[in-house]
Amino acid sequence: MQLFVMTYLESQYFWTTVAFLILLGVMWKFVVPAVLATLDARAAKIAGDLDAAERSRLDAEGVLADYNAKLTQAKKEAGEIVSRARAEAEALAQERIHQVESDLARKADEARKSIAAAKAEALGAVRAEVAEMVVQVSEKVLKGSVDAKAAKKLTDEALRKELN
Amino acid sequence: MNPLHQFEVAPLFPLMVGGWDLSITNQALWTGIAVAMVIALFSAGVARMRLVPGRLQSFVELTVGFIQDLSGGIVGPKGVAFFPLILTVFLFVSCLNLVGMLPHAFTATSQITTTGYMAVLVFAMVLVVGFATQGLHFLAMFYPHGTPWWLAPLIVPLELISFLARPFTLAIRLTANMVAGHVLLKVFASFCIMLMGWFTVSLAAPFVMLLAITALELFVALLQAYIFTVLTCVYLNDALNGH
Repeated sequence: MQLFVMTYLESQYFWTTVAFLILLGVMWKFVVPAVLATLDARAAKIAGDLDAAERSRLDAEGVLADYNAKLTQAKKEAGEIVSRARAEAEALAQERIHQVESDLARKADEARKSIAAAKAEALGAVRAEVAEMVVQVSEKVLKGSVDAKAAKKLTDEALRKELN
Repeated sequence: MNPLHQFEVAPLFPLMVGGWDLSITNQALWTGIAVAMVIALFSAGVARMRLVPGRLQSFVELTVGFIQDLSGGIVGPKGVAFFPLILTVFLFVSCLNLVGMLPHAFTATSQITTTGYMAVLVFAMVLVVGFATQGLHFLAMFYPHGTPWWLAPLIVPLELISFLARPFTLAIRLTANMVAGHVLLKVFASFCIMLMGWFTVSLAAPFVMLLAITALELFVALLQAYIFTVLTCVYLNDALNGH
């Protein structure tokens, strides 16, 4: 019966103790600190990476907000430029229209004046001719009894009656 | 083909030191081989620690993390100081169990001298730690809180007996499992040899059983080491945190 034998007790206890203590020493001084240090370092690294990622996200958000603000600003400026240009163009067109209108008015005025002048000239010519004609006629009719002064007076009267 | 022959302790190098017989027996030799293998494996694993671990480092980290979770879950934060000891208990028992599965190896944990030694070690540690942290209040674990006073004459002796039985149950559970498994392996291996010369096809049944029992024994080797470690943690919890 080899089970539960108690032979070589001293040897068993001694060598088991030695083996166990060596294993315990290696684990205690060597393996456990190394593993725990690595686990801690890994945890720190992961935490650092997460922090860095969070910072990058915040940075990116800041840049995006900046960009959006600039975009809004640019849109506003573009709108202002367009409206200013439109106002200028309108003002210019208005000015043109005014100029043309005043030109037209001036030309019409000139035309009216020249018509009036021509009419006055024509009237003057007609008046002179009629006066001459009246003088000739009166000479023929009155044979010198009527002088030029009387003839003009007669003619004026006649013309006033005719023209009025 | 005595299936118990494998458990025979034999001196390989007789050694007497000052009247003490420190002969290196097969049990001592295989204990040393198993421990050396664990130290080699774990030293290689932690030789160059990287943040992104290789296979060996992962193995070491997972094993250490497994026992860390176990002891943390049972003993709690007070057990941190005892963690290397708990880890060593697990690795010691499991490597002796597993090395015993090698052909021609000697299973040190099949000897009551090894398992009894481990059990007494754990029991003594629990006593020392218990009285050191709780003083005489440690004795209150024999009278569980909330027990009616008239049950005390029954409960206290029962608790005392179950407490004193701890080293025996720890030692015998492990030894009995190892012995039974290895006897079964030897018995079925003997069946294979006996049936081989007689009728070859009939070899299949014991051989399949032998394969299955080998797989089972590998599992039992780790399971018994786990149970031993869990019980160590439970007893340590009693000592550190009270019952």
